[in-house]
Order: sequence, then C-alpha cells, then structure tokens
Amino acid sequence: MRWRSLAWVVCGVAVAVAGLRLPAAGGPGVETVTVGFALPLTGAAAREGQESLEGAQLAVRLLNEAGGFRVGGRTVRFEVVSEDDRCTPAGGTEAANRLVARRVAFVGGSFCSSAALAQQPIFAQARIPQVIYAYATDLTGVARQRAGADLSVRIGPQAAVEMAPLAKYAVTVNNHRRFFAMAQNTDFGRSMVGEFRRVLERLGGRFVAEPEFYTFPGTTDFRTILTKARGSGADALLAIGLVGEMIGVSLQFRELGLGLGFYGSDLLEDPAYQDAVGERANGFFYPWVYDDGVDPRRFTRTEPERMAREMSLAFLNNLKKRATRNHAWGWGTIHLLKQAMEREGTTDPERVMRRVLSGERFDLPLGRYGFLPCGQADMRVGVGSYVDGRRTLMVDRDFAGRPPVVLTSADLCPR
Amino acid sequence: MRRAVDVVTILQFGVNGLFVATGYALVALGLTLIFGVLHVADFAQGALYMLGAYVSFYATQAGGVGYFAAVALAMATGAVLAALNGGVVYLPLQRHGGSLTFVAALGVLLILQNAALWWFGGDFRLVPSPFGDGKFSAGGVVLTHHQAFVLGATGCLVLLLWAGLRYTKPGKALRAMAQQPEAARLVGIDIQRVGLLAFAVAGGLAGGAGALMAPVRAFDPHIGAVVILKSFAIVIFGGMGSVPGAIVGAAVVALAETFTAAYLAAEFADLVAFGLMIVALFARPQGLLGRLPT
Repeated sequence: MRWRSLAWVVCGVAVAVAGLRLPAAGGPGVETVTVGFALPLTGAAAREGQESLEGAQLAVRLLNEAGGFRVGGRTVRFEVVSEDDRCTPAGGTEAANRLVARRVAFVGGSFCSSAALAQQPIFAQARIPQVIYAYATDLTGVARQRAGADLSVRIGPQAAVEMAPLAKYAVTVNNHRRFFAMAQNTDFGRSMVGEFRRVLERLGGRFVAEPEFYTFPGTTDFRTILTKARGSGADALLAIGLVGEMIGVSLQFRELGLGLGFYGSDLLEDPAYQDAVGERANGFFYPWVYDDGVDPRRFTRTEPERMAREMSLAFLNNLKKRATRNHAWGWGTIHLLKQAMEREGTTDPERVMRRVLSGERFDLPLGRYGFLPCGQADMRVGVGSYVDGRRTLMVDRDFAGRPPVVLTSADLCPR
Repeated sequence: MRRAVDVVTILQFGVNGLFVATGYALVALGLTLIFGVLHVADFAQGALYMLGAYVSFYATQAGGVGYFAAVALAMATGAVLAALNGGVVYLPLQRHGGSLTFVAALGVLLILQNAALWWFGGDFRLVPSPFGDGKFSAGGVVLTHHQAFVLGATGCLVLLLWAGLRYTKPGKALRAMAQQPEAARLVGIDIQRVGLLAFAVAGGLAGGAGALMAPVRAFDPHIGAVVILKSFAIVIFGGMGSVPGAIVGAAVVALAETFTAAYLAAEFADLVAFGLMIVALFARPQGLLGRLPT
C-alpha cells in the first residue's frame, strides 16, 4: 500500500514538473500570450466596447489560424479574455481587478476615460502594460505619472490631437470664431472642450458662454441646451458625446432649425451615426481618425494607411461588415504588441513596452506612428465633413502641423 | 454669460419641457398603476419601453408595417409581456414579501436589457417618423409634427386611461383594489385577474411610449434603464399610486429640469428630479397627490 501511495506521489510530481516546463498551451515551442480587454460590454458605450473586442478577436483569430508568429525562435499565439467595465469608474476598477487575478500579460482598454483613469493605477501596481483607447488628457499626463503607469500607452488620439485641427479648421477655413459648447459631463467631454477652447482662443476665437455639461449616461433630450445655443450669439456649436448622444444632438439641432456651424468629435465618423442622421449631417465637421480609403477626399494622400486597408478587407471577408474606428482599437492593440514582440525578440511585457515606447514607428490601423515617452501615440488626425450625406475628408493628418501650427509632439506630453 | 430672456426662447423652453414630460408621463402612469394596485415597484417597465422601441423599429423596417400600426403592435407586445411577467414572477413572489418583488424587478430589467443587447446588438436605432422633418413654427417657437403627434397621442392615452378607470367595470375593480384591497376581496374581485390587468395596461403604456419616442430619440438596449429611474422619481414625487400625481409629477419634473438647464446649467438638470423626490419625501411623504395609508 505504501509503495502504491509513493508511486502516485512520484507520478504527481513528475506531471507537475513536466507541466512547469511545458509552454502555457499550444504544444512544444508554442507560447500563448493572454491579452485581457477591459471594455464597456454593457451600458452606455456597449457598442463601442463590443466592436473594440471584436477587432481584437478577429486579429487574433487570423494570426492564430496562420500558425501564430515567430518571436525569438519560438511561435507565439495570442489568447483574448475580456471583462466588462460598464464605462464607469466602479466597473473599471472591478474589471481591472478581475484581469489582474486572471494573470493576463497585457491589457487593452478602456474605451471610456473615467473607467481607464480608475484602471490605470491597478494595472500599474500589477506591472501589467495597458494599451488605452480613451481620450482624456490626464491618461498620458498627470494621472499616468501619479499612478506610476510607465508601461501604459494610448494607442489613439488624446483630446488635443482631435480638437486642435478641428478648432483650427473652424477659425482659419470656416471663419467660425464664436462658439457655444456642450459636452457630456465626463473626463472625456471636459478634456475635449478644454482642448478645443485652448486652440480656439489662441487663434482669436472664444466661447460665448461657459460650456454646458449634461449628465452622462441618461440625457436624451438636448433641445433646451440647443435653444440656449440659438440665443447665445454664437456662430457655431461644438458638441461632444458618444454616438447615441450625437445622433440626438444632430437631429434636434435640425429640428430647431439652428443656423449655426456644427462641430463634433470623431464619433461623427461612426457608420451608426451616418446611418441615423444621413443628409441631415451635411455641413457638420469632425476630426477624422480612421481612413480605410473608401471616403472621398479633398487632398492627395501622402502616406497610405496599409493596416487600415488590411483590417478593412479582413472584416469584409470574414465578418461581411465594414470595419470602424472602434474595431481599430482592438485590432491595433494586437498588432502593436505583435510588432513590438517581433522586433524585441521576446514576449516579456516590460521589454515589449520599452520597445513600444522607444520612438520606433508601428503600422497600425490609424496610421504609421510611434509613441512619446509619456505614452501618447504621436499621431495626428485630419478634419472631415458630411457632403451629400457622405463622409468626406477635407484636410489630411498634417493639417494641425501646418502654419499656423497648433499642435506639436511637445504639446502631447506634460512639460 | 448671456441669458436667453426673450419670450420666444422661454416659450421654446416650455414646449421642450412639455415634450420631455410626455416621455416620462406614460411610463410613470404604468408604474403608479402597478404600485397602487399591487405595491410592486416594477422597474422592468423600463425594459418594456425599450422593447416597444425595438418592436416599432423591426415592424417598420423589416416587417413593412406602417408606423401607426407599429405603435399599436408595440403596445400589445408590452401588454402581453408585462402580464406574463406579472403572472410568472411578481404575483407568486408577492406572497413572500415586497422586497422580493423589488429585487426581482431589477433582475428582470437587467435580464431583458442584456438579452436585447445580445439579440439586437448595441447599435443605436432610429425609426423614421411618418411625418418626416415637418415642423410647426410660430414666431420662432418650433414644434415638429412628430412631437405634436406624441403630445396628442399621450393626451389621448391619458384620457382613455382616465375614462377606463372611471367608467368601466375592470377600471372600477382596479380602483377598488388600489383604495380598499380588503374590501375589494370581500366583494369578490379577482385579485389575480385585476393584478394582471394592471400589468397589461402599464406594459401597454410603456411599450407605446417607447414606440412614440423611437423616431425622435436614438435608442439602444439601455434606454429603458435611463427612463425608468426618472419615471420612478416622478411617481414618488407625484404620489405612489396616484394617476393624477404621475401626470402632474411628470410635468413639474420635466419643466423644472428644462428651466434648470436653461437658466442655471445642464449639469444640474438631473439633480432636480431626484431633489424634488427627496423634498417630497421630507415635506409630504405621500407625494404631491398621493394618500397616506389608512
């Protein structure tokens, strides 16, 4: 009996040792890297969160179906896990703690600024690199420094990247100088309005009243704010919100017959917005972030966005749908990590992120760019508008950097 | 900051406020009816509002049904689902205490909301209005044809409800249940049947409200949670169980919200609904037009 027990113990130890020596999954020489996504999968920004996750899942599926990719002589595959942050700080904290407990190697998200700000210190303490999609300035500024989140990066624009070219376009091209601003009362809304105001005032424009910040989520009727805008003496409106809000604002803007210029965030380029508002959005301006080459443009493209076209084709071929900016967050996260791993020759999270932050440029769905030491993507956006119910790209990504220069890389990190 | 003080602007604020009130009133009426008769805080009515919007969307876009028929279909769907929910979930649980129905109502709301997210997706939808972009404009005060239709339809539904409660036998049974439940039982009123009727009427109103608002407010599966919270605050402010209280409460809260946003700041507008609710609880616990239990 004693011999039999001993045999079981020996077998158990042998299996455990073998398990420790084997790669995590996928057979000999194959390493699986788990990327966790903290995204709003339910709640007010569920659609955006689900599309971001869908982008990551398709990118991983295609990479894994192709047999993975080579890193330092080994084959690497990705695995995606996700947690719902409900686009709230409390939900963000819960999602972050769950992903830490699941021992993910990297994190993508959140899409929502308030949730991302809540998550940042948690991932920083766990030394898990975070690839952020939200726009609040502090995520690559004061909040990042305070959290010690040196492994976090923002893969897309921050508020200044979006609002600087838009404000410049309003003043220098459309001659709109007096603005009435409305935004959701969140870190996102306040950051966007603040950055727009900074450039507007620098170029001689002004807000005719203090911005109106409405409750988010929950506001669906904007007629009262728009009625105020109508009587404010402004010559244009700046409206910042998520897609559902922007549909409401746009339709009610038309209902009330406001004769003002209209400027919004890049949510105006969302296909759902285009479907709902259609020709009623004619003459509305927004910062364009994602360019898959389909929209008509009023300039000659200087730099083809290879990854955007690749992603676009992948979505059409595999999911029979047009890819969006939201898909680009998840897809971009996976391809950023892949490229950094290949170049660095390791999957070690700290070394991979040092490579990301080295200033080297990466091919991503929002363009080819590198990252600044504060974690901000050193990327630019152009300005688009609706013409005959179609998104039309008016000026290219270099617009903010042309004289008068309203945005430089130095503006994107805290001084 | 420049203040809008001209009469046209004030009138426009008033029109905006009344329109907001219609959205609240129908859901609040259903809530207060159910609470008055059965003492159930049916948060799932929010989900029926959302489903009403989706029914009108799919009926008009995929089913080729006209908008007005789609509103009727949304009301019927809301009525059936509410009665089903009442019969299967609330009435059996009610025997074990009110707190159970409260938790169950929240559960049903979340289940329906997430089921809708899974089934319909998170995309925002908008139902094309049969009135197009037409609008009335008088001296700068704008009211779209669809808004006018919603105001009229809400008025008709409120009148129908009032007449039904006052002059029909089932309506009288509902009122009897709300006012003197024990006496109602003693005179042979079927509590189960009257309860199901209350759920059906409330569900019909919620579904109808969702369909009426679907062409003017983009919606997704979470729209109901937003609507129900405010409607619940209105019911408490107006008086739990009071039908006139729900209507007056909706008008007061909506107008107060609107004028707060107009003359103070939009960020304080939502505080008004809940602020009024708290004030009502302190100053008049039975609500504006409610009655204290005897």
